[in-house]
Amino acid sequence: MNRRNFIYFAGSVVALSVVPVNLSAKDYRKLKPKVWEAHNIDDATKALYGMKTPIESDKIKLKVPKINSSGGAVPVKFETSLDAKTIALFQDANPESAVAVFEVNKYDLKKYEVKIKMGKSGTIMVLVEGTDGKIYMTKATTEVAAGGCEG
Amino acid sequence: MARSKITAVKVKVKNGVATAKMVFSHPMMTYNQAKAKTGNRDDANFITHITGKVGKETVLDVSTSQFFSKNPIFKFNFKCDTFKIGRKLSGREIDNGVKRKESEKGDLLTITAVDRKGNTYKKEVELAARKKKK
Repeated sequence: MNRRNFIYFAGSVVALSVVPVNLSAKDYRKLKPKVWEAHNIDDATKALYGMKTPIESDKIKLKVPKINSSGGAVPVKFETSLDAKTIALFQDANPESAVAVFEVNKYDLKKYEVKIKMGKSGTIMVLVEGTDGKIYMTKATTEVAAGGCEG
Repeated sequence: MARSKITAVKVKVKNGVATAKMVFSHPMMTYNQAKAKTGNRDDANFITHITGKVGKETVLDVSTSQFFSKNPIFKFNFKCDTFKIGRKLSGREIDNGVKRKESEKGDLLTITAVDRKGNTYKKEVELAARKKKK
C-alpha cells in the first residue's frame, strides 16, 4: 500500500467511525448515571441539573389521576409551551426517583403520555430545562390504593 | 414469558402534527422485583432508551428507567409538515384492490428501543393520512 492509498484508507476509517457518533442520540444513563440511582427528587434534580433551584411554572401542564386503584400503570400526561432543552419526569414513591429524561428536538411538540409504576401514593414532578438555562418545574400528587410494584 | 418486542406503533397525522402511540411487550422488571424473584438485583431488565427517527431526523429521544409500567404504553407528538405523508387507502379502495403508487408512499418512522440486557427492538411505521375531501 503506498502512502496516498493509506491516507485515503485512514480517512475513510475516520469518517466511518465519526458518523455513528453524530447520529446516535444522547443517552442520559451513560452521561449522568447518578440521576438514576438518586433516591429522592432533590438528589435526582441536583445530579441532572446541578445546584440550580427549580422555579415553579404554570407553562407546564401535568395531568395525573387523583386516585388509582392500582399503582401498576398510572397514566401521566404532560406538556409544556416553554422552550426546552430537556424534560425530566420524577416521582418520589419508588426506591429510585427518575422515570425518564427527554431530549427535546426541533420536531418535538413537548407533549407526552406515559404509564408509570407507583409503589405508593406520592408526588410526580416534571422538570423542564429551558433554553435560557433556568429550570422550571411543576408537580402533582396522586393516590395509589394498592401498590403496583415493589419498587 | 412472552417474548419482548415492540408490539405496535400507530401514527395519526392531522394538520402537520403526528401523534405516535406505541405499545411494548416487556416485563420492565425493577431491581427489587428481580431480587424478590431470582435473588439477584442484576437480573433487572427494562427499556433504557427509546429513539424515534424519520429518515435521518430524530423526532424522539428519551432515556427511561424501570418505573415505566409493565408492557408500557407511550405516546408523543411531533411536527411532521416537513416529512412526506403517504396517502392512506380508503376502505372502498382496499375492497376494490387498488394498489398505491410508489409516489403515494410516505416516510417511515423508525422506533428503536434498547433494554438493559442490550437487546434492541425496532419497528417501522409509515406516516400516512387519508386524503382530504375537497
